[in-house]
Amino acid sequence: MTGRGRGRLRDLVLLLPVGALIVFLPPYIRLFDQPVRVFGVPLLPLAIFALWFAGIAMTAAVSRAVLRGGLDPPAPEETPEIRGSPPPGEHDGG
Amino acid sequence: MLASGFVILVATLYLGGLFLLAFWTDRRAERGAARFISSPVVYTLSLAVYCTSWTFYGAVGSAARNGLEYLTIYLGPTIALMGWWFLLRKLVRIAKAQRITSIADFLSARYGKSASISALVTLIAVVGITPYIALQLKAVAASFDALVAAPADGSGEAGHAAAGLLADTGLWVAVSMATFVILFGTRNTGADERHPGVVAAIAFESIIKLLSLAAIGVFTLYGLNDGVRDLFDGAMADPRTAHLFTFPEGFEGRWVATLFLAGAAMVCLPRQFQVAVVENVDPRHLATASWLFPLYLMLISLFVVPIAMAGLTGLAPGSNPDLYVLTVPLAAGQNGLALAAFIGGLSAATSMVIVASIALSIMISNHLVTPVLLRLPFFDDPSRGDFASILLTVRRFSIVAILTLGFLYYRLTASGDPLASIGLISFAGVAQFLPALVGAVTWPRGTSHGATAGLVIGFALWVYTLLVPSFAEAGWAFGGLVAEGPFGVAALRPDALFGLDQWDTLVHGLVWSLTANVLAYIVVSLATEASPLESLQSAVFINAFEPDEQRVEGALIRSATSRDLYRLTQRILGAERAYRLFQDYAERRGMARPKGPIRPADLPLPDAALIDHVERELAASVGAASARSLVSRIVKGETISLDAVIDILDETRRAIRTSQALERKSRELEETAAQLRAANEQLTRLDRLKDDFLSRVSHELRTPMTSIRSFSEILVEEGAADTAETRRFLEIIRQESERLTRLLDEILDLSRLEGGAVEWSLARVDAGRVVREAAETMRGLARRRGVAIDVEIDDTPVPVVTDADRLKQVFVNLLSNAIKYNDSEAPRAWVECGRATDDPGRVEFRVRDNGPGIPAAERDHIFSKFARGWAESPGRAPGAGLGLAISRQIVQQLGGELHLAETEGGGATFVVTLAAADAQVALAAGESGGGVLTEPGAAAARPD
Repeated sequence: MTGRGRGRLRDLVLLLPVGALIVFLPPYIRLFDQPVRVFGVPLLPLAIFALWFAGIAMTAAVSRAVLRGGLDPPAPEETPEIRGSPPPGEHDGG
Repeated sequence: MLASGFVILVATLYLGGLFLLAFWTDRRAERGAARFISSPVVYTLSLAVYCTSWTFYGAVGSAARNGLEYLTIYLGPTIALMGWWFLLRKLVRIAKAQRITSIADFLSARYGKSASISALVTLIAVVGITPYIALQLKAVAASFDALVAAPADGSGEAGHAAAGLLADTGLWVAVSMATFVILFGTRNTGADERHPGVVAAIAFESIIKLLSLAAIGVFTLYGLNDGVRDLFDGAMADPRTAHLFTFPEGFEGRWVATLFLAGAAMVCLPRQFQVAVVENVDPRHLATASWLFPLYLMLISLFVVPIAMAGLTGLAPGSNPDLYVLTVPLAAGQNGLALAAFIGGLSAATSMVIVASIALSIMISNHLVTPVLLRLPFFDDPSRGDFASILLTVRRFSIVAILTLGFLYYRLTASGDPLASIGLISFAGVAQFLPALVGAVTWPRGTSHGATAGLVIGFALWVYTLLVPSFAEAGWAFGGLVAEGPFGVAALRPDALFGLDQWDTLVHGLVWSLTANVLAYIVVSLATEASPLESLQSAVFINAFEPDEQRVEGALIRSATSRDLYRLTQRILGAERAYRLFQDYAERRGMARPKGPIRPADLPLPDAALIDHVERELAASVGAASARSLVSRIVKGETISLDAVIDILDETRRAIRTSQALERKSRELEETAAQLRAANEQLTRLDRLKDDFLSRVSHELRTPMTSIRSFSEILVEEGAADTAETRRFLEIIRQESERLTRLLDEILDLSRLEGGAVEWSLARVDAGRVVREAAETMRGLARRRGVAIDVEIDDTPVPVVTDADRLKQVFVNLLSNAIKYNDSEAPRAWVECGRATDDPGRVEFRVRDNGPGIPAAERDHIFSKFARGWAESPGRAPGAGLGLAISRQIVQQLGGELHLAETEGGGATFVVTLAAADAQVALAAGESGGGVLTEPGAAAARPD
């Protein structure tokens, strides 16, 4: 990925949660509180779930890009796994 | 209504299945075969322990009472997960590096491994979470009672609290959960505090929760209504459900408060910290969970609205909204569905109880009990066995204690608050960790005093403004205090502090407790000085993503004996794990050790890195604060290099050092580039020379080849008509072949000389004799050409160490040129030999002629290959043009020089200078240096 693409991805990683927070705060979410029905569903719950789903879809896209190495996610830690070395005493070699 | 025996049977079978799943997973994990545990999906599902019975039953209840506000409980975590890159990722990274075991451990490790902070956090967590556990027991008991003996009014309050203790469903739930957690949650200590069996069970329960809620949601949509449009058509006309589609007046305060609380709960709830941070096996799982977990939450909340609408419109007005999930299918006669709902609620409740009690038991044993045990003389008695088993026992007791506490709370408060308000008060309690937690990873100035002050004040205000009013509201206690204020001071009433009585109780309490918390944290932090260890830890935490760990480790200087370290590790972790720890450490440091018992001599050197390693491994079992106090007992002379700490913390110095490093790098790069450019130029030049040489060689070979070919063709075509002519042609062919051979010989000779592949046979000879021999060799040719040769040699012999044959070849070459190209009327050549006039240490040979001389234009490259300084003339055997090049090579290899001297009058003069042998001896004695032979035999190794 180019440095510019990386920068854009970094912006997205920052913008998504901030954008979601702003959208779901009262002055903005209140805009959808209208006595209108879309496909038989009142606008407010429909809008909340639609925005929610859009946010999830965008996060999924960003997280895929991040996992593909777009932002160098931390590599899996080297877990200090301790493999079957014998406990003391079992091998009394001297 | 269902038979209670049947419901108990199903519930028992379900819990039994859960035990089996956990058991099977643990067995597989021991063999390293439980790979599915390390999948991001399982990680996400384990995060869904967030959805407790409060979600399962309470969300519907909350929706029925307060409308869409319930959504904030799921939108908050959604936003927190979307921002995983900023907080969660860092927490996971630090927790792994520092072997963190709980949120209390995290805060204590950051603020100077303070034992008091971890104890404080543990206390707050226990006080905040106990009502939450009670809530789960209450939900299961109430749902069971509703299922087996649904009262006609559907209130669900079947009076379980009035029943005897043994008949109380809550007791049996608590007992089976305690058994489960003790079996699967306390199998070992340390080793990352991971519990694969528990994680598998939690993930499975998350699936069950979602499926059963979805089943009931779908049933209300298509069983009770005719699809989405029909449902809303009915609901819109009903005034009882109007609040489900619009915001009530003044919803903003609670909306923002619950959104914030739910988001904070994702990291502050001990059980969420446990599953999201401590049990995380791969930081990349966070990326997947960042969208998968919000999707789970969205699906769960999607089915809440139809169930709430069905409950509000279809059930009797007095029904308990918290049990709509059960009573809606029951009222419709769908007993199977109601049973599924019960199992779903049981899943939600048990998963929360399991994880919360594991997390709390780790905190209690590590931060409340262990510090006390370590102070007792008891600990120093080695006959008490290793500490790991004691720790496990403590954990088991803690689990029993936590569940007992939760059960007591539930028994004592059997009636009262709806589910959601208890949950939110718990959230507000643990949200007090947030300022210290966020400060821990972002604000270097935060000190342990600041964190303590913030936590204490925030917690106190939480108790006063939220817990006390909730008690009063339920009618258990503090009624007078809440109504009139302490000592009758109305301005200090818990739910209207300083007269703020316009606000909702939750918002009011949250604002007071959290602002006071943040202010105290900041002000006290700024007013106090961090200890060196705190500064060090804050550097480690805040710069978690910078590869500076080596320098951080070097900042803490202390010493201990390996034997003490080993003994301590054995005491705390048990013999086997201590052995593995040291074995592993030695292997990773590249010190291969034979397997077998460790003897004192085999132990790794007790350097700072080993002490750090041991402390971290101990911390994974007993927490950072206890590990530090244990290690401090055996180390000596602990100092924290302040310079190192300042160095790490000081941004400016970091920046300067970085830019210096960059400059150095760029200088190095420039130098390398220049060298490469030079090398490239040289290579290009050599390449050109090689091409040049090749084309000249081809050209030189072509001339004799052409003449050989043409004469051969004539012979073939005309046959042997004329013998004399044939002989002449054959003679030409022979001459040309000889010339060809000579040319090839010379090329080979030259390439051997240049490649240094020539064997030199050096000997001390008289310079004059070599010259004379060369002149004698050439006399034959000279006579044929009518050229006179004059040899002038000094009377005293001048010795040189040289290869006589090769030197002679040089003079023969020079003389042959002098003879061959001399076209003057009285051709003459001179050879002179004597000591150089300006330097008696050198011998000078001059070969001179009175021929046409070398044109000025040719002088520069007369010594290069195939160069000819003389005009070619027909009838004269032309040279290949390699003679001078070979001669110069030979002279140079012999440590001398060959050049063309300025000549007055006509002719050319070639000068060869060599060091005289007597001078060479003097040089060998060390008078001076400079590219001459120092002793016989050295020249072979000296192809200049």
